[in-house]
Amino acid sequence: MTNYAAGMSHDKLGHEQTMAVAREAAGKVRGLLRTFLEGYD
Amino acid sequence: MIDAIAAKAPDFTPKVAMILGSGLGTFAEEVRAVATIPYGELPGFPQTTVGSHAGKLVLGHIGKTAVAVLQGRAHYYERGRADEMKGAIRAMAELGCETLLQTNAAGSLRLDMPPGSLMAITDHINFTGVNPLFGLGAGDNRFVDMVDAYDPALTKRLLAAAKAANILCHDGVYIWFCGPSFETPAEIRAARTLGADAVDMPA
Repeated sequence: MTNYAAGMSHDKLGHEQTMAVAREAAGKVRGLLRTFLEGYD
Repeated sequence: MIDAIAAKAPDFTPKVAMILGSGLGTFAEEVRAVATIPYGELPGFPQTTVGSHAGKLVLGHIGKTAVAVLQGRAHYYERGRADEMKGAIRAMAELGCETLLQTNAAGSLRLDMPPGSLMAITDHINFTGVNPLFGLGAGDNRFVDMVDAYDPALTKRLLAAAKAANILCHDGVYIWFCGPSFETPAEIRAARTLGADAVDMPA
C-alpha cells in the first residue's frame, strides 16, 4: 500500500507520494520475494 | 517472439515470471543474469511510457530458481488497451514459466493496512468495463473460469514465506479502476461496499 485511498485520509494523493512510499516499502517486498523464490521448487 | 528470447538465452527455461511494478524495478539487480533484453528487441512486448519502468526482460536465477523478470509493464491508462501485456505473458508461458508474480502500488481501503503495508491479492473486482480477452476468436480459450484465478496454494506459500521472513503480509480483494486519475471518494466508498480491500494506484 502506498497510501490510503481517496477520502480516507487528509493527505493529498499524487504520483510523487505513491513513488516515495513504494521506494520505502521496496525492501520488504524484495525480502518477501527473495524468501519465496529461495523456497520455490 | 520466444525465438528472439531463446536466441539471447539458449537452453534457459525460467520457472517463475515476475512483473515488477513501481518502485521495485531494482529487484532485477538480485538476479544472477543470463541475459538482459530491452523490450524494444522483443516483438509483442509493450513500450511503456512510465519513466519508472525500465522496459527490460532479465533472465537468470534467484537462489536455485530460474526466473524471467519483466522490469515494467504497460498500463491500461497509457493507450486504452487492456490486452497490451498479453503477448509478453504468453511468451513467458511458452518459455516454460509455471508461476506469474506481479507487484504494484495500491491504495488501501482498510485502516489496518496503512501506507507501507503489503497485501497478497486473493481475488479481484474488475470495475473498468473492459477485459483483456476482448476480441479473442471462437477457437481461443475465452470463457475462462475465474474461480481461484489467484492460486490459493501459491498464496499460502507466499504468506508462509512472509511469516518466515518476519514480514507482515495481509491478503484481500483488489479492485481495478481505469485510471490514470485517482478514484473519487464516492467511488472508494462504493468499492468498500463491494468488498474491496485495495485499489490500483496509477504509478
